[in-house]
Amino acid sequence: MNKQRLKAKIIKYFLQSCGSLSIIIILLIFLFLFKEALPFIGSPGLNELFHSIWNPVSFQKEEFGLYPLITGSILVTVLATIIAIPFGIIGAVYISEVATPGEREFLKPFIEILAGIPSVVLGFFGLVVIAPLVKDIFGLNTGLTALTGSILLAFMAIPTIMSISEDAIKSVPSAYKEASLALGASKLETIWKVVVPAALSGIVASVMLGMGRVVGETMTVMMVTGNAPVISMNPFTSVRTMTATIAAEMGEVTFGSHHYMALFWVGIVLMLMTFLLNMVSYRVLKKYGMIDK
Amino acid sequence: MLNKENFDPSVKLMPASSSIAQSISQDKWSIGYLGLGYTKEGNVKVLNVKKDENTPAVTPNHNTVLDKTYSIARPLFLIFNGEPAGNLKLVFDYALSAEGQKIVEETGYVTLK
Amino acid sequence: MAELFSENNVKVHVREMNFFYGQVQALFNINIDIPEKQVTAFIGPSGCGKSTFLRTLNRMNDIIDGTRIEGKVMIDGSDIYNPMTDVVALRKKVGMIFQKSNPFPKSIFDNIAYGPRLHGVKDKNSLMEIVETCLVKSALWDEVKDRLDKSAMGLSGGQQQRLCIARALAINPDVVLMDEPASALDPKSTLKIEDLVNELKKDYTIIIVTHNMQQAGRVSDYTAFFYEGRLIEYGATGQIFTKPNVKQTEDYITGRFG
Repeated sequence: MNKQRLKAKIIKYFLQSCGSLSIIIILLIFLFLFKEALPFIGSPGLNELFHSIWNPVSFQKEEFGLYPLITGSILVTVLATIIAIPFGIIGAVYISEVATPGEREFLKPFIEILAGIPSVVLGFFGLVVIAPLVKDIFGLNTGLTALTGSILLAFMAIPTIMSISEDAIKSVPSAYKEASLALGASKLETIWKVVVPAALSGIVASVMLGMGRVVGETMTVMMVTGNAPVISMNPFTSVRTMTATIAAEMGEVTFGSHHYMALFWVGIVLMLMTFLLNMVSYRVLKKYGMIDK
Repeated sequence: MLNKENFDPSVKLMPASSSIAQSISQDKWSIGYLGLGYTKEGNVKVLNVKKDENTPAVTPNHNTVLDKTYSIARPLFLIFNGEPAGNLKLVFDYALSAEGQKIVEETGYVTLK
Repeated sequence: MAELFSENNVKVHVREMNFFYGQVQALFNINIDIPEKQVTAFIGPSGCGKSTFLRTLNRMNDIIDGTRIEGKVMIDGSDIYNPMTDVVALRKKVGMIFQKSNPFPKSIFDNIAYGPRLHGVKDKNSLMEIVETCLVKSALWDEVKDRLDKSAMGLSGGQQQRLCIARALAINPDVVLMDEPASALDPKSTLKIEDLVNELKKDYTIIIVTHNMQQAGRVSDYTAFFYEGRLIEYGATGQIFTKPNVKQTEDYITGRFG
């Protein structure tokens, strides 16, 4: 009896520690980020981060302004979201409401494959196929633009948006659909006026999660956006995202230098941004009842 | 280079030499620098470079690199802490052997001699 | 059945109708005439086909894959299964109330305005007029007139069902189909719905499916008894409940089965 109880207790603690592992990891990451980044506050000072030039290696003056990197990330993320939303949502509507069971069986694995394409492969595809295409279509000098990165990131966000939106649409009670059809609405009217509005919070959450994925993506954007740290909201310019900056520069930076610490600040800002996006989408999902309270 | 001035922020930074070659071959008015090996395919145009205002512009190739008339060149080092021995020595010796140097030449780089 | 009512009053006319879910036949050789501006009740044990039959009358079964119908279903003299029939127009003419109240997760106003908007009413004042008329007809106006912009999900079950009735009336149907409209409601709300049915039959042809015999007796003028996919007996409600002609009907009504 006593042995049994001990066993149960051990199992319980084991499960508990597994459950809290992710929390511990997140805390450790934050701790580590701050530990490496902290001396920057003393010298050269936090306000060095708040201006518009990022030029950490220079014979003249090293500049650690985060603004171009933040705007770069925002531009690419927003564009990618704008591109992904129509495809993701229309795709979700199609799969859940219009497609025959056969089409559904056929389409769903492809969406999962799209979600599983390694980002380097996607980046390579972008460099060789999408970049020249963007260059030719828009008559640009170069295809390495924010738009090119956004298109590729949209490919990554679409599966996320599609599968979560599909769940949301599927969970709309069929009673709503019946009521709408019985009032003389066509199938299409029913979808756009009843089903999608009823699933809206789930759809919004799917978009937020898709954005979370896009913000954190590194390899693809690094390969195709040109990585020029300029502040621009023009999709046809090259921009540099926070992720690409860390990935490109962390390998060559002198440990403990100002540049090194500045890169950790970039990491902190990035993490806060994804954290915020996840929080918001979690809230929305919770409100919608897709996550247990 | 550039008299130690900064690059313009709109200069593109590519994650790998192959992507530099890729974008130079595609983009209008683009210029970049890469290892000599990446020019072997012939899809980028190699420019002649002057060492300073008084010398003639020279094309990078085996001879101009070895006699240092082409200025933007550097040796590639194999670095090891201590005297290489055992398997490690085999690698070093192979790289310096005629066979190893032949591979260097085949991939478009400049051999030691 | 000509003895039941004059031929001029026939609203729904069904002949030799068979209905299938895939390979399974659910309705067998249904023949029935349903009168205009009366309440006709369909009764029978669960699974007897009464709801399926109801749903053939506004072609709601169309949305289920693999269903098939044979025979003739006419409303106002036109065959509703004719390939030329406009299903939207049919459903506009034949409204439906479901077993479980199903207001949209929208405001009370938008719920009722949904149908009229679909069919082209854009003007805010006209919509308001329709909303008010329908809420008055469904005896809900006094309870909700101050919160038309609030979500319909905040209403009680009985109120929600009356809202669904108002929503169905808003597209100005001729026929209102009710599929056990009170089965999920408390007795008080049930009575309200029944009063409403009595009131509505002045203007609408009402067909109500119920497995509550007392309810059929209280609200209907005619009653049809279904059993195992067949129409067993059909007649004036008084006659069906007091002296049914068929043994099975009598057994069901007296509670011997079902």
